Amino acid sequence: MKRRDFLRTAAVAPLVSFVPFHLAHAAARWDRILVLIELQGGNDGLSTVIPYADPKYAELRPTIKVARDRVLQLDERLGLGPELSPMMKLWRDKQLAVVLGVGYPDPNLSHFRGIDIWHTATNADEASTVGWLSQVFKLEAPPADYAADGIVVGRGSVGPLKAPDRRILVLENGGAAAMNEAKRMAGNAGMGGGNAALAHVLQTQQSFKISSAAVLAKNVDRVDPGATFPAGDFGNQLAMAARLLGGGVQVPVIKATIGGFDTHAAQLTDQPPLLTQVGAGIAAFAEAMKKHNLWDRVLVMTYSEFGRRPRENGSGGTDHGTAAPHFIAGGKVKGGIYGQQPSLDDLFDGENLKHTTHFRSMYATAAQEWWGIPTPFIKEKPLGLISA
Amino acid sequence: MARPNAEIRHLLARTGFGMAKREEIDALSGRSYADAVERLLDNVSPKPFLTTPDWLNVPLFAQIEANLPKERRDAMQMERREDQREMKAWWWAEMLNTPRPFTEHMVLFWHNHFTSAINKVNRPELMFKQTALFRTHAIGNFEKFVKAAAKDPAMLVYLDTNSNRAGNPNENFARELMELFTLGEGRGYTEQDVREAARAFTGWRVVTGNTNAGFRVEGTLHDGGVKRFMGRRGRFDGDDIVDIILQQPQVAEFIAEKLWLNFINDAPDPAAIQKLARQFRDSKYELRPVIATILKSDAFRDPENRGALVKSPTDLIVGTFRVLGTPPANPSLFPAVGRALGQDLLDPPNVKGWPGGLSWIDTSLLPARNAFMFGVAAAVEVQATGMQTLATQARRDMRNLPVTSIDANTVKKLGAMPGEELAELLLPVPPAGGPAGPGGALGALLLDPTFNLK
Repeated sequence: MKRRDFLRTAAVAPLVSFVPFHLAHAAARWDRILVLIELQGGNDGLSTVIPYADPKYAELRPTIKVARDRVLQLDERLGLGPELSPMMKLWRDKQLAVVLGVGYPDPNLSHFRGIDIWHTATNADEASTVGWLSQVFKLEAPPADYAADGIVVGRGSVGPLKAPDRRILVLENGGAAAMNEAKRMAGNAGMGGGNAALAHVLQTQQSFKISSAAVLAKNVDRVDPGATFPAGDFGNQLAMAARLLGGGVQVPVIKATIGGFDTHAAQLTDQPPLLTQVGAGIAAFAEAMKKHNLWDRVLVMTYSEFGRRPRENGSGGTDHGTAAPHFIAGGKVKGGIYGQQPSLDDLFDGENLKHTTHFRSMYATAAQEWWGIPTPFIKEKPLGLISA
Repeated sequence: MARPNAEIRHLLARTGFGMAKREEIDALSGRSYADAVERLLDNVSPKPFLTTPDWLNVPLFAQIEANLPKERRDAMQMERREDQREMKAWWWAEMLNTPRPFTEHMVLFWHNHFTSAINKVNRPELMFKQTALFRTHAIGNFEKFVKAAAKDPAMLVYLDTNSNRAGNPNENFARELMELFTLGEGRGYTEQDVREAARAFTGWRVVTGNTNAGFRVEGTLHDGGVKRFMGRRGRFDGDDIVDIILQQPQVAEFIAEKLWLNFINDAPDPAAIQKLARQFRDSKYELRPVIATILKSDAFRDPENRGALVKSPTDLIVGTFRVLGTPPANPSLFPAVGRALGQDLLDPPNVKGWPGGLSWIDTSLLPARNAFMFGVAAAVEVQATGMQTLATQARRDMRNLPVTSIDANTVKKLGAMPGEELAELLLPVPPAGGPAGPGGALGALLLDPTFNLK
């Protein structure tokens, strides 16, 4: 960390976080990439990592439970939903971490507030508009010659990267239209004053021009993604991510998004196809990264605004809930189960899972363990799942 | 010819679709500003301008449909998808054609407030009925509006009230009623209130099976027990819950702030919001007077606030085609343009609607807007010069654009205007200078970064 940056951080951070070892650390590992996958709508954790051996599970979910013989067993208590079978190879290769009971105290059950809390790494009673990755990048900025601070593939939100001054590139539908505009805007300088709205337009244009020019130079549309991705928008997003990284675009973060997890009704119809895409997508992405010799440099992490209610509702669905399991995968990941499965007998407010792992532990893992950036704003400890 | 009246231009841009035709500005310019505001409000109409789609009168044989063989049901669903596309195109056409753009501006405002999405509701006739409800209550009484929206068939489906039943409550509607429709997130209610309110809406059902979708309470599915809600106890039903919510002062503040953000700028003045909220509450939630106050306010009229808002994609598309065009021959092209620019009308991204404001412009949407405006500028060039051979890029830009809706006579008339007069008609603030492109002086203004503002 540069001294100037440290002083700025120290000036705003409370004294309790004033820990001397932050003063000196090795340079951040900007050769390492974080790939975030947002499961939009609140993924039902209990049908993703299933406590199949707990009789309470079947009792709470008389019509939507996954039959015990269809569960892909991880151990004697837990197993993955059958749609996630392509991920079992990563599990057997010990490159898949299953993090249990991820949540936070006083959970908020609103989609929007929930995802804001996750995106900004705040406590439930705090509000912030700056994404957690942008807070990390404020402590240590990615190299200036990188294409961008983050690339969002697809139409998802820039959530964790959100900040007024971050360089974020959004590449929808393979980015063809964006690349065309990049060429057209190449010569247009147009910067200037005006009101805040105009300043925003001009600044956005400038940021787009710089980032897109860096991607354009790599001809990513001609790069072999390296694997067959599942059909559909989510698979296309991950294929785009594979082409960007395989083509040598330098960027510390790529974010993909799959929506539709708000399964208040008919969950048995609606959730399995989504999990199928997640499982096949992550497996294909791992294969592609191995082909490009990048798998040791990639950390894949899922997240969602909340899990869902343990007890199914009267519509064959589940209402908004709290804690849920998430996945972290990569060539350097020490595979296994991390954290405790929340109890189905001891529920929060009598109906929701009590979190056992704070979601900021996942962020600490990415920032501290993966990139080597001390993050005083995160009090939670990393999960300890990156091998040396 | 005199310059366009800048204050009336601003009023029409902010109550319509980001800009206005010269005739529309001139028609309101010969009177006092306050008169012009009242005249606009008088013109808001519960009736649409265009004739309604014919499939609206197709009976809703939901029960019968469920018992049909699969092939027959699939065929009906195919037909319904076609009707969904027509529903979207119909609304774009209404916005493009109506002589009362303020009406459709408010319908869109409420669509972004009491959201529903056709991809979940499925039945286009229910979505039509919902937009009709928004037209009816556009500037009416908010209390009646909330109660009607709670019983609206599309809403009953979209937020799962239709499967909310005693003993197995579904909280989706109850939560959004407080979080998004009335109080604002976390402002004066608890999780307990959400659960209890959900019980009060149990048994609320869509009536289908005849020619007109409606609402009824299914007694056997309704939880008639005592609820504890916001410190009260009683055998509340849904209307009672709305009544209790509307006694909270946060409701008027929340709606006043939302109106401010829609009409004035991105930075509501807390003291002014308090005053507007008081007026709104004192008038028993009448919308017209509070909207009139906003439109006549010093803040609204402050020249500093001209160009302070980003045009929504709908503003950009509808405004541009209203000013440059004739009524479009093929409105079916418009929904896809809206989707590409980030606003697929009748299919909002989620129940919170489009966040709007500066978020309409990001590093993904700005290039999409530029591509759209390049296509419009290319079409302007074609219409102005009668050019038959086009550059490859211009052809690509115009692909999938409703270019035939850009009218040669209008383009020629605008092209003949003195430069400054044209700039004052098309832009809210002086031009900042944009990329080189087709369409001459008119094209240069369309491609100017300030064309994104209103």
